[in-house]
Amino acid sequence: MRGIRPFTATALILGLLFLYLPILWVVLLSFNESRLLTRFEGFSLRWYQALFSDPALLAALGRSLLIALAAGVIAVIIGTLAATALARFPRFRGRALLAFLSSAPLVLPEVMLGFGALILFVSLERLIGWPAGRGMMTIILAHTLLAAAYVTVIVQSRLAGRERVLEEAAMDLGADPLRAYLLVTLPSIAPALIAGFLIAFTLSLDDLVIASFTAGPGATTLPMAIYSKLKLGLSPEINALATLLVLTAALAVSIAAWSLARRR
Amino acid sequence: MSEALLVLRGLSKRFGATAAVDGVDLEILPGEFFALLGGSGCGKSTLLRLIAGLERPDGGAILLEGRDITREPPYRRPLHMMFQNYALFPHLTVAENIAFGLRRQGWRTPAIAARVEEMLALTHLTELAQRKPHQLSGGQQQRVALARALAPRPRLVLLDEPLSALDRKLRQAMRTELAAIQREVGITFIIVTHDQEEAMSLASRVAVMDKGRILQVDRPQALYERPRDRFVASFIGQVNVLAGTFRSDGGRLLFDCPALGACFQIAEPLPGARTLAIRPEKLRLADPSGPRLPNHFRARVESIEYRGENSLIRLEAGALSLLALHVHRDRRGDEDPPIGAEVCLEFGPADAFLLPD
Repeated sequence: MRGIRPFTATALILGLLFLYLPILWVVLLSFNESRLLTRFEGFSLRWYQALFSDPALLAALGRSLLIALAAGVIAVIIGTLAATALARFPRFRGRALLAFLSSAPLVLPEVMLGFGALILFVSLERLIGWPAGRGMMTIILAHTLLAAAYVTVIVQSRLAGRERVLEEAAMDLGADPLRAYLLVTLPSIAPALIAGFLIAFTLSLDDLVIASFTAGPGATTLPMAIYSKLKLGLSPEINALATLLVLTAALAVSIAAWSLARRR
Repeated sequence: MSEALLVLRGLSKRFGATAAVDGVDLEILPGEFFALLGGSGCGKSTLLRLIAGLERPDGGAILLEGRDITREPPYRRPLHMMFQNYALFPHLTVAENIAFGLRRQGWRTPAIAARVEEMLALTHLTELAQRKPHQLSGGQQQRVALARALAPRPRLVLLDEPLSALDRKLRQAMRTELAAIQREVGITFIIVTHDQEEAMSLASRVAVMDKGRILQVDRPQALYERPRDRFVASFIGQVNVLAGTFRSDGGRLLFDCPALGACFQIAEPLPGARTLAIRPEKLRLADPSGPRLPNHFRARVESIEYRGENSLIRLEAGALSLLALHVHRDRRGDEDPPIGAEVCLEFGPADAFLLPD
């Protein structure tokens, strides 16, 4: 901290407090003895115990993780393909349309995305009988829709530069275009793929709006479970759950940062 | 001359309305170190990419060892390129980078290991075999790129501005090393460069390019001493250009220069020529006791740029502005003349050359 002036230091500390105080507060309260959410009355792990003996909440957590994983993987595949098309082929019919459509979900209100997806799923079920009812599958599809747009933008910016030359070098050394892509392009954009996956994963994990529209009976995700508990009165076990989620997210971000730093 | 390794016939490539490469004919001999020299945008890099197969020509043919490879994709051509910024694979180690081409050609594992060892030794990279490219200095990256291109024993190696990313001192050292490596492996090199010194010192033959065309192909000495083109004469080194008329009088070859009010004897004829060119170092300050060479004229010293081993003297003669390089051979007699002094300049008949218009 040497060389930082008092004003800068104060601004930094206030800024960090503003960002992280709510999270720290939740972490602190998760170890609270009291049932009251607003007063700290001594250290205890009872809410963690309560959390791990609440099957409904644990099932929702498992479901959410599974949905986030599936949506993340599919979004990375679709987003990478779209980004490759956009970065590699400067001119083809419908390029401008694809560029627009692939990034539109970024700015569309989630309510519209969720509602649109719901209407589509219902109509499809009537027309071709698939998807049969709403459940995890429909949530995964709707989340993929949003997450793929983010992945496309991240991967495309990465593909625009150096990787073209690397592909040329690979082809010059005897790799056909498919091998050049698999052996050189994909590994060298791996940091972007990891970052894209993590963003997709996180988006899906904390999404409430789209999931509420596209979920069916028995497909309650974690944010939906938390939200419904809010209506019945919050219990401090939510704090314990939030603390665990924060820990998981921090771990994921650290892994991503470490892998990015190692690559460069 | 019949056994050319690479033959280019009327090769052309257009980008939109501009012709990047415009009807290039060229023959490269086996084992030679060939340079494509020209300013930026002259088409030299595009020509290299056409040979590598990274661009498709609009017209013409490329023959390698007599086989037409014009339509072959880059990955089927037995030649490799060293890219300008090396294009090393960032996720692979030095050894894996070098092995990349060998694996694609289906070499067996023990053979790959042996060849990689050999290439590492050749380029002094043995200790760095397990490093990643970003852990290497510019000079080391450059050697990896060269080793990677040489490893699969290509018929031809193409080098796109191989030394331009290095600083001046390192460039000098790498130039010497590059020449030594080429001699050792005996593989044909084609280098693209904008640096005339690099082209002249490395290559056995140089092609000078401008606006997508090859103006002259020759040994470096011939390019410098007897350029056949105005652009070539002024692109390589510095040159004084005198306007006038060439005539042959009896057995003597003469050049009338009205601007200097002089008539010079020259050694090589070029009928119809109206330009005489002379390099600054061929223009000598005559001894005060009087000129000894047949061609001489008077001029006034405008400015002097002292550079240690020599001085570049800017002179004025009538309306003409000229350059003379005064070499400091010994301390007593070779002092530079004072600025503003009237001096006598001289040159021999073989020191100047005529240029076509």
